[in-house]
Amino acid sequence: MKTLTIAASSLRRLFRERSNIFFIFVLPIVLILVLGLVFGSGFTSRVALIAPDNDELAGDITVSISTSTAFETIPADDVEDARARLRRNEIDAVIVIPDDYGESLLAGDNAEIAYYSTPSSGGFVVRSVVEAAIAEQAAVIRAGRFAADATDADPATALDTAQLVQGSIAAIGVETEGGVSGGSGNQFDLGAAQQLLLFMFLTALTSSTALIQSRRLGVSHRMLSTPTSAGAIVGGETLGRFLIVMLQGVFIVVAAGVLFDVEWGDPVAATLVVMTFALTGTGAGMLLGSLFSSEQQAGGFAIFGALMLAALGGSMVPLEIFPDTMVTVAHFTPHAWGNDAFATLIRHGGGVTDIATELAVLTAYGLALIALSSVVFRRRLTH
Amino acid sequence: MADAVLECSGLHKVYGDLVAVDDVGFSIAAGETYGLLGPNGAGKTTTISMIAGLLDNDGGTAVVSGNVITTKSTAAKAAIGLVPQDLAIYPDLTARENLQFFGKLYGIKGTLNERVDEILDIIELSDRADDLTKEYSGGMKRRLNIGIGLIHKPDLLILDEPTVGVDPQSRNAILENVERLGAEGMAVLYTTHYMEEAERLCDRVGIIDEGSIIAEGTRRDLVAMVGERDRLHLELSGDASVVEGSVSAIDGVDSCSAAGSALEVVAVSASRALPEVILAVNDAGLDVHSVQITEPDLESVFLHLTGKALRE
Ligand SMILES: Nc1ncnc2c1ncn2[C@@H]1O[C@H](COP(=O)(O)OP(=O)(O)OP(=O)(O)O)[C@@H](O)[C@H]1O
Ligand SMILES: [Mg+2]
Repeated sequence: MKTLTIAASSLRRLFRERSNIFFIFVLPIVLILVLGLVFGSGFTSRVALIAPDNDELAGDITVSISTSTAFETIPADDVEDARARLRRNEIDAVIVIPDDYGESLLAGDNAEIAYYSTPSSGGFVVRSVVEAAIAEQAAVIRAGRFAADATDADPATALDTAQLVQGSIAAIGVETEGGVSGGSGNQFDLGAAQQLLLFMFLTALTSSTALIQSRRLGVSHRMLSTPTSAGAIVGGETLGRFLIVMLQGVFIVVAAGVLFDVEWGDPVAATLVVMTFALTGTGAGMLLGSLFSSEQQAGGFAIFGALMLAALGGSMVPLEIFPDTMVTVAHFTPHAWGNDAFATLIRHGGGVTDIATELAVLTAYGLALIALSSVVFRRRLTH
Repeated sequence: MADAVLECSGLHKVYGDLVAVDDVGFSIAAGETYGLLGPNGAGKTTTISMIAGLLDNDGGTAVVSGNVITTKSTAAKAAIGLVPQDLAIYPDLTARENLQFFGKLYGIKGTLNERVDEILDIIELSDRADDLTKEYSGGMKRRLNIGIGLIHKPDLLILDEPTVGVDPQSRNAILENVERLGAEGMAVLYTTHYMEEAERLCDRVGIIDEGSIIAEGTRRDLVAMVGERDRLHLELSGDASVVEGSVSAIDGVDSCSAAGSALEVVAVSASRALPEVILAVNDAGLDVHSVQITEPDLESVFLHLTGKALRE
């Protein structure tokens, strides 16, 4: 009960400072938006493009897709091999232009471009580039067909004519022909997960300053002079911080889902990742708040530490592009485990059992840090 | 003392090589105000912290309302109201919220809101109750700091230098409140290095220096203990040396010395000696122009005991 009173006062004090609302709720969402728009997932997607060799229309669309700067196109020959690489996450999407592509289109049939991806970030960008290329070509083809129908000319000749007059005919309503199939990636997904972890930890660490303030002001001591046990005080402060970080985590998850269609994967599993990560952040924040005596020092250290850990743990640059040794180092940070967990949930549609290791590591980190900080905080209180 | 609210003995606290508190013991009865008077660093706050169960002691016991107090004796702390030396209030909460917060920690349930209003009234902050305390003046913060310690009507109120940095008006209000609480039957432990406050408020005073209580008792006891006498300084209408002999002979006068028209008299009690001194002066055909009486105070007691002033 007193634990709740103390936790509630932490929340009340935090939100009394209006700027905290900006830093905790608004800024992360703005950053997810900006970074998602600018970088997609924060790195260039790699797309394998398989196209028939001597097909003029296929050649055209290959050129317009591969000149896109939104992703890197890797030529490939074998569909199965490319899809296997996709499953291993070595590439982000596979585009297959069928062998009879030009033939079908010229015959007035629809051709379907196959598009494979895991539900990865950047998929959205790749897909929209392919769609745009198809739309562009479809306009030309429609115009060609129109010309052929009208003039009884050979469609291939008419197409040449149409390409010449394309500019003026492109205004005809164009439907995208050629289906796009495959996964439903979103450029914000993994970026959002990275930002989520970065900000939760940042909030957890910076909230240590309020703890130091309570101690410095003697309010913590005064709590101990009331019929409230040291355990309840430590518990209340810990719970308050945990609730703040959870509140932020849940808000970011929901807001990014609603605003940017971010898919977080299995909801139960995602909630567990947020909870265990919040636990770890809380423990780290409590430890910082117990060890430091000056708010300025702790605040500076919190921001520096949170950004360092985020960078090291793959919350700025994805772990995929880390060299192997760095990946090992990265896994000393809770962020790496959180990012791994979200990658499994978001990209591979994993569930709780698939991220059991990550959850266990984060929980262990959290409990160990909270235990350690409780000891330090209690000592500080009564000595 | 059977009805002692606080009884402590042998309190001891060591910081490294420094013995901050050394074998401190005293007791306070209900309705009694006890002063711990001592200079900066004497060990007042450290002593109080052990009594209030904030600090693990290195020896000794403190019993409040029949319960031994340690940092872990949670329930027993309900009998104590502590007003710390440094303001211990949340600056980003209002006075009302601060009072409610600590009221809940003191375990006040149904009557909390009424009690908060009562306290706001006592500390005269009702009209500013819903402003953030960081916008308060120093005196207002001090008053709230005290109010929090009273919220649960403790048996023992501990005030650690509550008037430091307070304007004279707030200071007077604080002292009046403490006097009233004592009169209402609360046991009060009051630390200060202001001799006047100790003299005005406290039924008994413990003089503490370098971690030890070096003297204890009522103001009179303390003064008598060191044999200090009242001093009378008289300005006469003529040469004072003519009355030197007759004044010295007055019962209760220790010594008398003349310097021009000034007469210095040292007596056991100024009030008892003064009428006879004036008679002796008049008998010699002189008038008394002015009299100044200096009673020995705790300041001079402290000076006598330690060889140093209470405040540097
Ligand atoms: N946490 C601590 N660590 C080390 N020394 C301490 C600590 N707290 C107090 N002391 C020392 O113990 C001695 C007594 O300090 P205390 O605060 O009890 O004095 P005080 O009588 O309350 O003084 P003041 O009138 O200045 O408040 C001082 O010498 C002080 O430096
Ligand atoms: Mg002190």
